[in-house]
Amino acid sequence: MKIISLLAGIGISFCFWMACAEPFSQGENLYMVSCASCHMEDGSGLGGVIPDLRERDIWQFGSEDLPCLIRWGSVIRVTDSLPKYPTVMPPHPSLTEVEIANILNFLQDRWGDPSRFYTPEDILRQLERCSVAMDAR
Amino acid sequence: MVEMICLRGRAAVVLGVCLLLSCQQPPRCPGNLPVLGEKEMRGEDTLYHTVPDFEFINQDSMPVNAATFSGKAYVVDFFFISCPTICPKVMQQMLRVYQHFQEEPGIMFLSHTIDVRHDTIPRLKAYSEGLGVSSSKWHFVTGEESEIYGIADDYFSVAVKDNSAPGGFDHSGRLILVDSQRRIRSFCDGTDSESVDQFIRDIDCLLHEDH
Repeated sequence: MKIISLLAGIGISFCFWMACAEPFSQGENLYMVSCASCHMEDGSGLGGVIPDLRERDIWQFGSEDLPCLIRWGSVIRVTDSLPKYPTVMPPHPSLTEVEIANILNFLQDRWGDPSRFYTPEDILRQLERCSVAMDAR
Repeated sequence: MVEMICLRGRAAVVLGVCLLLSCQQPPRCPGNLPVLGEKEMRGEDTLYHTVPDFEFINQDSMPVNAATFSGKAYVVDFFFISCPTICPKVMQQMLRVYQHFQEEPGIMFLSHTIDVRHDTIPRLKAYSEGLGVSSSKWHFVTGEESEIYGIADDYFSVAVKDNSAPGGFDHSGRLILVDSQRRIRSFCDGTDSESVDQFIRDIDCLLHEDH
């Protein structure tokens, strides 16, 4: 009995430890697959050509607009206050709202505002808003 | 006791001088870098593969040809601005090599776009300015598409149009080192930073070779 509760204890602490170590591991995996070839694994981007995600300034721009930026790419020019880069961010039509939420939660936690949290419903709402804007073009 | 200190002092001076000298020595090179590619024997002479003449145009709308690199070694790569796969990583490594040799007059850089339709001169200009590099040392060139793809073969690199490849072009992420006689002396995989570390050592060796 003691051994079982000991094992359970170890199991539970292991789960906690895993959760603490990588709270957004799904988002991190998706980032590595969908974003890191341009923004680099460490988020450093490329000179003044591709944005450095570690710079806090990047995250000052409307967090509401980021789902649309990921889905449609930078053609959508969600905000004019973003600095201009000589490269264009490509669209990512195959990422679902759950995946975009995972990516953004990972990014906000690592380099942006860790208190900013997106649910898939938030993402869906914002995507609907910008698909109207895209249709109107 | 005093003698001991003196001895130690002298040893320290000798050691210091050695260290100082070793800093000024060229990097450790096991002889000259090999010349890559097919060789042809003609009588007593060995003819090596050399890069043929070319004529491209750079980010300042200035012609770039073999004379641009006269008497200098240069590093070559092929890329395109909207490349969604390996280019940013390769360009990051190319930038690292550039920054390493920024103050070294004996080496220059040459990046060819393989998407001549989209990568116009103003876009190449904006790109090079974004990287913050000097256009007298690092040329971003465009030109006749067939000439760019053709010269990629001469640099033992790959650049072809391929609609099935992401972004529409297939190309290798190689960085290639060309010497002042237009012979290929080294190359590396620009997506692998350890391979690029070795490439940087190769450039150092080439710059210290006796001609």
